[in-house]
Amino acid sequence: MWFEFNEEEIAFREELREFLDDELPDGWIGPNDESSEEGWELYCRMRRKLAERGWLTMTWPKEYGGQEASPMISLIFAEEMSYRRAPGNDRFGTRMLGPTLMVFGTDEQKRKYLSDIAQGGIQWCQGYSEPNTGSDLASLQTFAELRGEEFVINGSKIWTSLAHRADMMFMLVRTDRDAERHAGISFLLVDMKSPGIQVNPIINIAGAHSFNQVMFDDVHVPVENLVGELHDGWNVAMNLLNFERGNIDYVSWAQKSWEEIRDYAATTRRFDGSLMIDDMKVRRRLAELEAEIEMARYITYEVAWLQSLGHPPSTEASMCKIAATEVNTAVLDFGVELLGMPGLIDDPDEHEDLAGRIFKMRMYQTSGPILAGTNEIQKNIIAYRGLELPRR
Amino acid sequence: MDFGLNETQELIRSSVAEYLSDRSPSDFVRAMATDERGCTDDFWREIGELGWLGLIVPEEHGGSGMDMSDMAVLLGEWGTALAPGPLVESAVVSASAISEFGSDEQKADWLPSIATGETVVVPSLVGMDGSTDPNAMGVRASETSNGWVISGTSRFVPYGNSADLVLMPAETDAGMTVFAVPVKSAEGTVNINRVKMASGAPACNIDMNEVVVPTATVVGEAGGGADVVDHMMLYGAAARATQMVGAGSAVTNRTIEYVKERRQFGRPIGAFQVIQHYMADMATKVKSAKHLADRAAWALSADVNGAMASRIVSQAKWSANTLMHDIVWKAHQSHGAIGFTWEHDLHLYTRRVLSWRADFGDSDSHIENLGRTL
Repeated sequence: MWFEFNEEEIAFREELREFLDDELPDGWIGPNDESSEEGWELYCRMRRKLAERGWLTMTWPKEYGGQEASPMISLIFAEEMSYRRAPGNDRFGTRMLGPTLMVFGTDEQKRKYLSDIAQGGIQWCQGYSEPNTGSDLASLQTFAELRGEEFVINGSKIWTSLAHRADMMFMLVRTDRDAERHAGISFLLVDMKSPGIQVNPIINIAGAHSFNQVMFDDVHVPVENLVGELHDGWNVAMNLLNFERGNIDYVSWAQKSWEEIRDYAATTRRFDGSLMIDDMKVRRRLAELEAEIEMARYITYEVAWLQSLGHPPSTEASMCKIAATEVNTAVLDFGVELLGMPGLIDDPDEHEDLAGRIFKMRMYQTSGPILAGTNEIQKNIIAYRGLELPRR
Repeated sequence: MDFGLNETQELIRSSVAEYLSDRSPSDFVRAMATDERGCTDDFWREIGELGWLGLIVPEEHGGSGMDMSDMAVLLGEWGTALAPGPLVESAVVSASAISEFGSDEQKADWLPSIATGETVVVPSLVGMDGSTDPNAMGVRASETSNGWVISGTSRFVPYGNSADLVLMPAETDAGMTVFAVPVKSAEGTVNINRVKMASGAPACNIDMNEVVVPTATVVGEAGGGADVVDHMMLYGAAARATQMVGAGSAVTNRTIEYVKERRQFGRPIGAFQVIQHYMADMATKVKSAKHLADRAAWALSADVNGAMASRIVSQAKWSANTLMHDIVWKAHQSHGAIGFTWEHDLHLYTRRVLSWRADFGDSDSHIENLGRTL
């Protein structure tokens, strides 16, 4: 039992902090709005700078240009990046597709894509959800017909983050309609510039263009873009989901917002002249939220610790998704309420201020308990895989 | 970061678990819950012989000189089994307070026999208003030419009818002072009245009238009692949090087993999603509270500064209080009517979790400690 970082880990965090001090715009508060051109440019610039340091792929094996950094160092990277609300930590390429290609990719695929991902020169998006396929992922219907040396894709993907910015998509398609539903799925890599792809923006509840519906109308994809075996895409995707859950992000966002709310309460006077923070109700709620942040934090630390021992996390990762997203929601909810009417101003120019920022982040956070496996799906995973409860 | 047990801790865990499953099964726990003294001398001597009462007692005083992280392993199993006896009170809170604040003579006199179980030392930390507010203590002491004279009432002293010494904070002209009062043998009038408690562990109201104790019974400085009380609350809260998580973990595991067996509508109730989500929530809460409890024990073992350690312990106790409380009621809901019976063991856990919630600082006092130091 030991609850401190070691010297190497502390030194790495310090190095990253200095890097972020240098590279983030002066007075940076964040979060970055990647739906604006300015915000996207900043994202790409930061992604390249991070790639130059080798940090985006720090956990990759040396043979693929990685640093074989420990899971704990990688966690610190994500923790600090999110705490600073720093853009550029590409998760689709470096955290999700890259490790998948290392396991399932052909030599040609590895050669072609891994170095691009590592250099931060390519943006990937993830094509899983469909209009009628959410939590029940295996019900997907977008079909890829194998015609000679090509797949021909028809259908649509939805809630596709960054599809409008992405160069490539990794996607799940049905390749056998007659097989048992998990057995007829394949994993494909698709160039977003392919003829027949149409990206339709969807505006989210924060008023931003962060995700899309992507239409596929006779889109031709060469057969060498198949990852893993034909019809074995479910297996490939399930493996990838293990890389997806980087839940320290939510803990760090919660921590940062909590600090901003605390500082606001410590400097804001009510009409009677008293500081908000001198109200014991405010202090108590802040203290409760702080303890809840710590609980979520240590579950995520435990996941990294398990990984460092070579144990793939299963139920722990699900527990940490739930705890981390719930606490970020709770912190932002408290912030919106504490900030009162000024916190509800819906004017983009006001988002420089804490009030607008907290509200906007609360709107975004609505997706936290939903995406990457809803929290209810996570509870199912805990119940089935961890607690071995019967399915019927 | 290390969330695992080292070899020694793993050995402690397995031997304690094995011993308690043999020596402290449900019928023993039940018998002790209605026993006048809440524990048998045989049992206490045995665990003393096993070295568990001296785990954190320094080696030069007959203990093993281990730290709170090691002790936490024992405490977790103690909570899981609901094993009886003043383990936290004597072997953790009093032993560490005497080690930290006691004179050389006090350490030499008391620590070796705490470790063997021959001497039971318990703290008095409940005020006249039933809270753990140190300003609410109902005992006063004044210094005279032949020692100190103590009068007043100490409420809810755990295992006060077995204790050889009670570490008792008293108001004095010099400020709060902690005395180690030999309640069984003190000169003067001492009435010890047992109160039957929901937890099954006896507590006693101790009325004292002009009890005379020598100056050598002062633990720490005269007037320096607040620090001793803080220390006892800190170690008590950390220890209790760990014990609560052990109990919550047992409740969760038992409930999961139950919902796998119990059938309704032609299937195990554990196949219903609402029950599955209760179980997933319970398991997540155990893990959440366990990490903070382990971290609290670590903070008292490693070189963590006092203010930080106090916050870490308060987070742990508040979390254990809140989450283990949630767990027992969800366990009752999942057990249905059988869990509402005296015959079923679930209420043994419920009663302890509710009692331990109030011990060494309730949720309010810990959240206010945190709120004051944001």
